[in-house]
Amino acid sequence: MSAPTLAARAAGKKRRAVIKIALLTIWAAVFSVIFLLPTILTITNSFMSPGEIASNYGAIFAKGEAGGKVFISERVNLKFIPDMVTLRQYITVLFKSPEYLFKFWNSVILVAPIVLFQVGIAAVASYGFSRYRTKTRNLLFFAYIVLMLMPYQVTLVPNYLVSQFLKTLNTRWAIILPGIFSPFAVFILTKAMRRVPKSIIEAARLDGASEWRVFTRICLPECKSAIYSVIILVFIDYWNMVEQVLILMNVPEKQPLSVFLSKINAGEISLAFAVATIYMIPAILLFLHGEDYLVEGITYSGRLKG
Amino acid sequence: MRQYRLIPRRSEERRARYRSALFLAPSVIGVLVFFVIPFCVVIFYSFVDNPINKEFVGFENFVRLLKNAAFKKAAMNTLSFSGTAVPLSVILSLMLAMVLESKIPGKSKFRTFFLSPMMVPVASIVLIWQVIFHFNGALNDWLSVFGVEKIDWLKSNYSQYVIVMLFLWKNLGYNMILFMAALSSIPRDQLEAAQIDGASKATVFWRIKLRYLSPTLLFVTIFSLINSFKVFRETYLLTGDYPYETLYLLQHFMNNTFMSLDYQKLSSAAMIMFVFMVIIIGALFFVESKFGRDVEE
Amino acid sequence: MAGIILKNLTKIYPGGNKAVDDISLEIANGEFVVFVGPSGCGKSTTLRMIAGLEECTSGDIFIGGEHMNGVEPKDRDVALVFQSYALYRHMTVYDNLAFTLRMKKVNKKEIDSRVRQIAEMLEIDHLLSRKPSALSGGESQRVALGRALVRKRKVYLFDEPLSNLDAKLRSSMRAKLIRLHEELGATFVYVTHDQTEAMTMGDRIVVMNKGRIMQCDPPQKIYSHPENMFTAGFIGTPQINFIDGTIPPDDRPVKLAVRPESLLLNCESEDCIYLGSGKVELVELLGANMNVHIDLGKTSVVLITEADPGIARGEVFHVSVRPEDVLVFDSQTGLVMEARSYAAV
Repeated sequence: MSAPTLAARAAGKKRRAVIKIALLTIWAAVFSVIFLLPTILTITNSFMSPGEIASNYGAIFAKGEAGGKVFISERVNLKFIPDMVTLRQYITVLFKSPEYLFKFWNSVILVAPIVLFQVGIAAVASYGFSRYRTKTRNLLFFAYIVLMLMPYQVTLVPNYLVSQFLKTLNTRWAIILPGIFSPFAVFILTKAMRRVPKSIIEAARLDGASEWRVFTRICLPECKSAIYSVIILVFIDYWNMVEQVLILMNVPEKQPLSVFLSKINAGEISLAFAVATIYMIPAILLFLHGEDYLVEGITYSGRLKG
Repeated sequence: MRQYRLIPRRSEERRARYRSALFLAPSVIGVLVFFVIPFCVVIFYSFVDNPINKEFVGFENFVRLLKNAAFKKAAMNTLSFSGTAVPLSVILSLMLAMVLESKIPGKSKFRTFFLSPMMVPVASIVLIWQVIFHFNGALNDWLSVFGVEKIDWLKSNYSQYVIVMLFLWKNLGYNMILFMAALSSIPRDQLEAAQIDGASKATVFWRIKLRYLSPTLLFVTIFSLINSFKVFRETYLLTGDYPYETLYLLQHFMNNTFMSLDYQKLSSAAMIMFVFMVIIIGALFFVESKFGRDVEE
Repeated sequence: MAGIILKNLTKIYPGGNKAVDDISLEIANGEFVVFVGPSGCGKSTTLRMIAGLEECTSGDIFIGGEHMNGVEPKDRDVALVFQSYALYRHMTVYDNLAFTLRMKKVNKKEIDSRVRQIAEMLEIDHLLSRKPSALSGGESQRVALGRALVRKRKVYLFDEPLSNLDAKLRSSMRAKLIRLHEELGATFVYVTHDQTEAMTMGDRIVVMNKGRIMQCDPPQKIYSHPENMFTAGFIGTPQINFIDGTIPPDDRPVKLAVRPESLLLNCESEDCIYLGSGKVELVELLGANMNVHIDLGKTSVVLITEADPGIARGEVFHVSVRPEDVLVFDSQTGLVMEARSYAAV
């Protein structure tokens, strides 16, 4: 009996491989749609007129918030493409109701100092952690990891006590100060700085650089991309903050948009999509510009040991 | 040999070490002031009757907390949520990573797509979730085509599944990146050697790939667990202060306790969470060091 | 420019590993000294202690007459060329060369002229605007060299700088370094595990083993008059042949050592000492010469002769040596001995 030749078997295998790749690609494409859809819908809906929003989603928001008085339609109508593209929502948000811009500004003045100082202080500290790896420092670094892994349910109570002690409760400092000293950036930057070859640092010392110069002139530039990726990661985390605000700064007029957006009331629901889109913009821009850095940062974060 | 005056000096290395310790100072001081010292106060509070009287009461606060119905419910809900969400997120993200690493066209585009939810602020996307999952929402509308009865997704026992979905939507990308990095760092020659030795695909996966993935598996599990505690964001923004009962999470409990400023309850709850986390992290580190020791750099 | 004095230098790493064990050495101003030895012998550690990158556990280091213990690397005024080159990856070649001058606050014009001068000398002036990632191995090596030479220093240190180059480049860089040393007249301390580098470059060779200096002499003396078995065995390829022997009056066992080129085949002259005879095991033809491995029963020896098709595997030869070509070592201490008569066993 003549078995199928090796060549025939190889051909069959090749065909199966092609089919497999095709199926996997389709599978990935379907997943992509699921992943992208909510974001895209939010953006496209922001270009609808208030009337269209009201008629599409009135059933949901009007009922929930206004006690069922304004009843437009029993059904929702989730649409991808507006009947008529209009910038009216944006004009209203940007020029006519400054409230949202204030809240956006609230977000900025909370997040900007946290990102700036957390990364700055972390960069300095990570040099200290990576320059010499003594037993004490390794232990300290491990403590940072444990602290980094603690959920808000643990860290918010100490934060609250400090804020109470410093009398910063319900001021922005209550959020900014603990944010600045959060160990996440230290963790990632230490990982990055440990990868700078020791001989480069030694060469710089022999070239006459002081410890501080070695840090600013050699290590910081060597870790440029890691720093950028940490900036992205820290920004995302705080741009999205909710828990801290509710507990440490429960003052409506100081709230950032990340909390306030969910409280937009029924009357202004038409604006909500535009505001939501505006709030996404900084994050999306950062993402599109720095995706590779973001990926690098995530990869760094994945090395818990070593 | 000429004689030279010997000047005793502190060793250069030790001085350099002291100087580099100064770099640590700002961060360490901040961490001490904002996390460690107040946490000691938390430990203290959890063992006394109240902040004014300061009488030591042993484990009474903990016992009371563990008997507290609200805490028990919140803890159970959080556990059951994490228990579903974490394994799902680990497995699904590993699958996504393996699909992207299997030479499909447009890999980098897919990576971008899968990663994008991570960048979208929860607050921005909550509107769309409301439109989809509301009782009168889009999902029920679509399902009605198949004759499915309307379900109140956010105010029924289905609500946890909805939140699990939102969690996966947001976090799969991050984990996928970690797995992709781990997969691509498996030494090629090992896989090739196994292939030449005649190992089947399954053997290669279980015996080689998984070994190299184990540190990442550990990390993804821990990180997913921590992120699963952050799902309060979605829940809160979607359903407010008083969600359906299966959505009442530990963070809700903490928020309510903050309202009443019951320091004993807060402190002992934070302590219990802390101990719980330390045990989990310790266990995972232990398992990983047993399992992944041979493959680390 | 300055000489170096090492006095009772010892380095014990945390954990008890004794890397350098009580070495003393004087290096004259303008000398080219090569440290050679197997890996882990402490040669690099010694170099790093001179540079100040490693602190010594005990002992003293003087450079140019100044006591250097506890002085920071940047204040020692030494340059070091690293095995990995250690170029600053985010800087251009120009900035790499200029870095040390900037740290010393040299003015811009001076920096520019120094950098260009050194770049021209090392033939890297066309690379000045490139980043290290765009350089070949040889180019990186020359930049690393340039970085060390751009500023006048008391001492120039080299830590296996040529080990990452291919054979051809290595020999041309060797010649270049020798020329540089002559031009600068500076003190060079050079660490290598490659004995060819040691033999060709150094005014003096320091052979190290297990943290100790085995011998410190000019190359020719190291080769012809090794003071101990380690030096005899470490320097020279193929390795020196060790043959068991005895010396009168009490037939004390010793080791006889004979360089491969000193062994003779079928020598009929009277003053030859007969060592034994045996079959040819292996012949390695190297062009003009060949290495012949002969099994003498108890031991086998290697000898170098002119290429000769008559010597083939399996043939039997008598092996002998002239008495003046034999070195005698004490089997116990490994030190060289003065012995007028001896016999092979």
